[in-house]
Amino acid sequence: MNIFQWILCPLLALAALSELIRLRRRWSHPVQRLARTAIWLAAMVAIAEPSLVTRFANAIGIGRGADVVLYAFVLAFLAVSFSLYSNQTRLQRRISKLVTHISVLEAQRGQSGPPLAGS
Amino acid sequence: MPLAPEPTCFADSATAHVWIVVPAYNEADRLPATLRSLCSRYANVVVVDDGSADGTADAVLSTTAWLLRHPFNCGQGAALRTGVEFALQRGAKIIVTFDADGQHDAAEIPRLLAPILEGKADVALGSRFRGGTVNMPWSRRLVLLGGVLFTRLFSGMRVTDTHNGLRAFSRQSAQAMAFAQDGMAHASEILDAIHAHHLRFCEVPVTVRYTQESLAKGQSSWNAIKIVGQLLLGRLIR
Repeated sequence: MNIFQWILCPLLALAALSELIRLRRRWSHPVQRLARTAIWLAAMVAIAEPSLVTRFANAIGIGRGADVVLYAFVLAFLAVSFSLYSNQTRLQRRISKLVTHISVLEAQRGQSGPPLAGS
Repeated sequence: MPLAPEPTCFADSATAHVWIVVPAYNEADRLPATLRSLCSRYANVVVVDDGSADGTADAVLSTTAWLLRHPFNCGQGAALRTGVEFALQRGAKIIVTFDADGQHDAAEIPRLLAPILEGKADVALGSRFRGGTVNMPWSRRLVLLGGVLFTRLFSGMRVTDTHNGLRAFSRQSAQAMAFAQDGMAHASEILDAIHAHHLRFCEVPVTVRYTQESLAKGQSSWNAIKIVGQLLLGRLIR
């Protein structure tokens, strides 16, 4: 193993362990936590034993291990982009509801308005 | 030149519980004329100033209309949600949405109210393609027809005009509307809600007038693509 592998593999193992410990302490978002654990472990294995990625690439007909990593990054980029867009949209909707609430509370009637019908 | 006073008809008991909701964004120049024609006919007009930087709010306060102010621009869908919620809280029995830019004619509102007052429909949708248009560019016509096709494919709604801001809702149908989309995609969302809640709807011929100003400020035809994206992605987000 080279120095890069000696540094990154323990860090990735710690990241995976941390996810599992947090999941054990509090059973929340198990799918996301297990998925992240799997990603850390897969990255650790790919760095520790690069020939495994090449063998995996050959098995699924892609050819080069580097291409598998590239495709995985493209898919991950799309997933993360959608996740960020979703979170931003949800946040925007919450803010808009708050704006609606405040606007209704602070309604003003034009100065020359007649007595309100229907109130 | 000052405009001639409009006829007053809001003493009519049938329209006493009608609320007109006008979303407005930087409409200080065109809003006074729109409000003059609305306020002379209806007692309950509410303008939602969607974070305007001009004198839109002052224009409203000089009339008999209600003013609701968004502290910043949230989009037409959000402005409609605010206005509809306010009207519902005030006991509205029928809610009409009306554009601020003078494209619509207040004299056509009774035609939209009629099917709801008669109990024949829950929602009355204005249609410029059943009625008429003045100075509509061909590019806008193409985009709107694309919207109709898109709606027929994705919502199964057989309507002739999907993005007309002149509509009327009964109280029950307004309560059923979710208005989750803050932007322009709310128009398609309204049609989806009509379909999902099995609301009775009808299309009413109306006239939409385009001017240089309304075209300059209005939606770009290319925004249609953005609206479709917002609508499709918005459906995936809960």
